[in-house]
Amino acid sequence: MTYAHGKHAAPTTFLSKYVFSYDHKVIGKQFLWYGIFFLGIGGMMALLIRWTLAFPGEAFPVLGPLLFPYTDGVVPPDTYSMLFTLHGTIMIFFAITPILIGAFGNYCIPLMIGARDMAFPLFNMLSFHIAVISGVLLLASLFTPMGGAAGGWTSYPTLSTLVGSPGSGQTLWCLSIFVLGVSSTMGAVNYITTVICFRAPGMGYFDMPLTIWGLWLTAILNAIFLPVLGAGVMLLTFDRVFGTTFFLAGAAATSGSGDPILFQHVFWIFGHPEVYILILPAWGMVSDFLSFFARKPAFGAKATALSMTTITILSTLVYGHHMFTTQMSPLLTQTFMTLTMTISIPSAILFANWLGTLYKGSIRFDSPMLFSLGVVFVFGLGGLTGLYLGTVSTDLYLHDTYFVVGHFHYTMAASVLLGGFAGTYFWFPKMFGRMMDEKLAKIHFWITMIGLNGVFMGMMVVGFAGMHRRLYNPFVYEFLEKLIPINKFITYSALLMGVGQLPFVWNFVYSLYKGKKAPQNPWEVGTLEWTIPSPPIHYNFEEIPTVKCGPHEFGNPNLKDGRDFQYQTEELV
Amino acid sequence: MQKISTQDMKHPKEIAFTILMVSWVMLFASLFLSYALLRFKETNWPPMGFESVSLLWPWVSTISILLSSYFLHAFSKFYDLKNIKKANKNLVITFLLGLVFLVSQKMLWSHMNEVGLVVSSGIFSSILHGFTWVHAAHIVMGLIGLCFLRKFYNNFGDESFQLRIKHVSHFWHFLDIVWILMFLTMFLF
Ligand code: HEM
Ligand SMILES: [Cu+2]
Repeated sequence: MTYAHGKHAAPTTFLSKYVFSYDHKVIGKQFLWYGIFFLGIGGMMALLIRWTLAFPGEAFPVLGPLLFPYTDGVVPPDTYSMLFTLHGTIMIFFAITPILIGAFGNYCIPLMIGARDMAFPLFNMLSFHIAVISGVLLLASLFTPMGGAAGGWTSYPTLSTLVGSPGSGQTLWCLSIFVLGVSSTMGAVNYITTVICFRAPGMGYFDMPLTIWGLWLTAILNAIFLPVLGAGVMLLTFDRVFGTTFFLAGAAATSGSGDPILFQHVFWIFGHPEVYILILPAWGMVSDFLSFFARKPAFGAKATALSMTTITILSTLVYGHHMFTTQMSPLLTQTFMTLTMTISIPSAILFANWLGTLYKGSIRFDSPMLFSLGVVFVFGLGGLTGLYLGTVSTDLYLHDTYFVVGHFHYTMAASVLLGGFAGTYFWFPKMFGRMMDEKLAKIHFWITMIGLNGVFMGMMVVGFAGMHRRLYNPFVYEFLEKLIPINKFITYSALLMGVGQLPFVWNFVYSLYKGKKAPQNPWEVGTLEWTIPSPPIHYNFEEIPTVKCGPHEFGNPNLKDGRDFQYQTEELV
Repeated sequence: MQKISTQDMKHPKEIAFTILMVSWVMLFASLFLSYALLRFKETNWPPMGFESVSLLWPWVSTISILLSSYFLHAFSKFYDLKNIKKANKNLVITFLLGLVFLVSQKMLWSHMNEVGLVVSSGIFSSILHGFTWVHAAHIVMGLIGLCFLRKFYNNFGDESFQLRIKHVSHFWHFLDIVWILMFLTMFLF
């Protein structure tokens, strides 16, 4: 029998074209706007946090008096907790996830595997609409009488129970995360099925671009582990709304009470895979871009794909390294430490393959390449700092300091952000049919790079010096007073980084309307999305392509007529 | 239109359904894991001097859901045989048994409240109430799924309808198994 798919006709009205669209390309762009919107909000929150840490007790310039009239523009302590909670939540679940997974996943998967749409377009549209509901719930929580959630993005009990956070803000947070989990699971089901069933004829798994590998593995992790988070926030909601005591230790804390630590188990069983959920798409994209712009076949592409798979599997076994300080038995901490260290093996293979791809390449320093090289640099640094945290003896000191904050901003914020920018610069011509300005892109890259290294390196330094995370005013402790100048430096770097995003915003908006018209294949690469016009027609492919070679065929000496690459639809020369 | 031969490959809907089932298994597995950790922390179970819950209503639930699985299975058999009458009868009985299950759960909740096991009286009642709520909510979803099968007599031999029957049945049997596990670990032992 046969299965027809993508049967919807081209939409004609505004609503069916831009709001209720089944088209994966439109849904991808919807997720892009959604993510960029929240990225802006999360970024503003970050600046408020940084201001408070560098200039405790001083009014936030310009916006402060408007936002906090009762304190003359100073960020109040409870608001500060709310800010770091929502900054983390928004960046992870409402900015990185929609951009890397929602936008690039939707946009690239069908185009790069030669399909006309996702397996279940209706499901796909609903996934976005549910994500919008989730975003509305989260923003609504800010306007409840006692304000938004303030228990950290990890929402540990008892901070997040009614004892620590009365008021409906935290409850709305839980619901919002639950709803987002439903949305992402629906997306994941779609991605996995599409990759399994709708690869163009001739495309084996190892002929898929590594971008698709990353997105696919991410979707698998999402489908398996989001329900775990769902269960956790559901029980937390029960505690808050119906009076159950899953996470409440009783006054006597002896018998018949719940267990706050239980939430940490559930959260990190999800949480550690989640950090790889976020990084895998960026890894995949970078693995491709390094090859595309070094004009060389990806070094050990198969090994890269397999080590990403190995990391995916191992990432399910190490969550305990977030809980070394919860009085775990040493037997367990040692086990989790060993398993954590095991991840370095596939990570090292992956990293070595990146360097192998670059080695002796004829590198083109276009903006996607610059950002990819940035990822290689910051991810290397971030990954190394993970080893100190994964080792029990050093983690006991470093846990809950700014060193951890530096670590995960390097691995997650910096790497994923740079990867996201690389992807945006790379696919913008395909998405909107126009080129972005290279010069502004390079300015954007260098300011961002300098800014973010200032911020995150600074965080690791103050963390190593003992500064705790999540404190409203760390400098009430005398031994930390000496760190005020470094904190000022971090804040200035953050401001620089914030200002550095202006060229990007300008470039994006300007190029959308006035950019140079993009040719079909501006970067001269051979994957399937570049065999069709920019932007693609409604059904992507007039005729479903047949794949005859891998995605990284560069510099083959047999190639004729001055080309140094070949399309995946061409027989290997 | 893209056509893909599925002779050598599972139908996309089957793959999607398998993934969804994995998600649901993980959801309930997390609940069981939480239960295990909370229970092994205690020296006595039930803790705080509570008595075990009377098994009357849990038994009714168990028997009704086991029977409903049996009748659902019979339904799909008679659907394959294109026997409208018998298929219809079995489908209706399945649905009614599902309702009996929900009623018995409601009785169980009332009973627990009567003997002082209200939602907020500690971890024992939290588990009993919380987990049965989650399961019952899924039973409601299962019942809605059963409603989507009612037009089966117009769809004999339709491949996509056969898949629908298969998936609703699998979901229903899955909830059956989850309940049996809950019955064994939370009520019987
Ligand atoms: C390269 C191997 C890695 C190792 C060995 C590692 C190890 C660790 C350890 C042990 C902690 C806990 C520190 C503590 O709280 O005391 C931690 C925290 C964290 N890591 Fe990693 N990590 C690695 C890679 C990554 C990657 C790739 C990401 C994200 C893309 C990431 C994101 C995070 C986050 C978000 C946290 C902190 C969450 C929180 O407490 O708020 N890590 N890491
Ligand atoms: Cu981790």
